[in-house]
Amino acid sequence: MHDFDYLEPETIDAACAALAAGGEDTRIMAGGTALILALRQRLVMPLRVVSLSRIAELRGIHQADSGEISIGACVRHADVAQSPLVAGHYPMLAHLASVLANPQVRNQGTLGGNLSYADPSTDPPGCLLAIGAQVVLRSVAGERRLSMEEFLVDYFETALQPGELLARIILPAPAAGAHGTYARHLRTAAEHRPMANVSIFSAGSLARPKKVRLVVAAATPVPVLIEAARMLEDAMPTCAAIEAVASAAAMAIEPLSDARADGEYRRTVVRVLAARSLAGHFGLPGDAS
Amino acid sequence: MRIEKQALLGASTERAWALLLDPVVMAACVPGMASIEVISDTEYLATIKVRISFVSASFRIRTTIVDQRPSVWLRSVGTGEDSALASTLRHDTQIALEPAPEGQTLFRVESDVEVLGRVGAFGLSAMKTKADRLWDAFVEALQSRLAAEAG
Ligand SMILES: Cc1cc2nc3c(=O)[nH]c(=O)nc-3n(C[C@H](O)[C@H](O)[C@H](O)COP(=O)(O)OP(=O)(O)OC[C@H]3O[C@@H](n4cnc5c(N)ncnc54)[C@H](O)[C@@H]3O)c2cc1C
Repeated sequence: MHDFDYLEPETIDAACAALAAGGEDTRIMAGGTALILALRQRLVMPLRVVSLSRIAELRGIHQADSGEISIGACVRHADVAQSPLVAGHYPMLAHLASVLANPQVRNQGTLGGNLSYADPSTDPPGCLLAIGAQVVLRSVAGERRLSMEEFLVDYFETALQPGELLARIILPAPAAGAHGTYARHLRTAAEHRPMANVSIFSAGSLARPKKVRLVVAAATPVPVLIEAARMLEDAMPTCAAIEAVASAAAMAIEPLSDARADGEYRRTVVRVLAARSLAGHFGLPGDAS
Repeated sequence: MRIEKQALLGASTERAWALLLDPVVMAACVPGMASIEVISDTEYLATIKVRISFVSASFRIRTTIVDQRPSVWLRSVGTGEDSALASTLRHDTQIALEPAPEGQTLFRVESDVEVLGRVGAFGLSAMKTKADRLWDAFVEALQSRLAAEAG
């Protein structure tokens, strides 16, 4: 590894000031699970690394009076999994955080680092998009609040600008009858990262949902919100409707084709995973195709 | 890594050929192209920046057209390097143009690309996907340029 200055600011403002002063050769480090690998391979050779690990404001999970739940960017996956607030209001996210990667990564990697890295083969981005989460970004210029759609720009690309850091993730105030399902597909049981995943979030009764959001991720360069799932809104979900939505989801995506799986295989996996997950979500007989 | 791509362009083969060999147009349409110098009729020196997450590579690539049949086909080879990342890139590329219905042109590219050095550590899958995204952006830029000319 080459030499660099290692800064450990204690406030978000101090971190933003260090980023603004440092310019292009400055890198943020949260859990370091991705960054340290790149430093060791000398894929990045920053002059300064700004660690976020001492910033108390970036930790903790709180509920505001408005009902919104705020998760600090440096909250680790294991903390999300164990949070009574998350488990109580968004059990799909707590479950996701308890199964992603492996225990070492869950105890070291942060939710903010995960989102900022924008690797498509991950779990949280699709789920947070389905939930309708937002992110708060900070820089010396102030604060911006973006939807997940706005934040997740493209393959390994987010809306984060130079000098900006992700401060927290906001989950909307829990809605009446909200219900979530998250399912991931691994190529082999020994793999950690998902080859495809599906997130479903509905509000209103399961027998007649008012709102249905279906997101496909990991199979695509960036998570995709499936418009066709809205055909399940304001109607009684049926096996035929679910099959139609699952097929539409598989057709709507532009799947990734890489060493993990080729595009057409991913499309098939998405159709089956979506059909099974929707059936499970709405308590209908599962699809086994 | 082998890259095979095709796209329909809204122009004659002659117009498409002229466009693809125009360094000013290429500088505007190739995503990440920071500069291009024309060394001779058949030699170019281009600097292309590619970013995957926090890794940015900047390759200075010298490309030579080794064979061509104007408006139909060409083959070019090139090498380049990113000295900061101690990485090299080599490509052997063929471009073919064919008339398609309604005055359009079928534009096909076949390229063998080799990336050696540290950048290679990022993984072939990521590079291939990135190449796909860059191709889509390139074709979109070309098409909107042609549409602007036509309109
Ligand atoms: C073996 C292994 C298996 C994995 N499996 C999975 C999996 O199954 N599912 C999954 O979802 N993920 C998986 N991951 C990724 C994991 O979730 C990491 O935690 C995450 O990608 C990076 O988090 P980090 O906190 O360590 O980030 P770091 O390595 O510290 O940073 C990553 C990048 O984000 C930037 N960054 C970090 N925090 C911020 C911030 N607050 N604001 C702005 N920029 C920031 C850094 O500058 C850097 O560019 C896996 C990782 C490993 C190593």
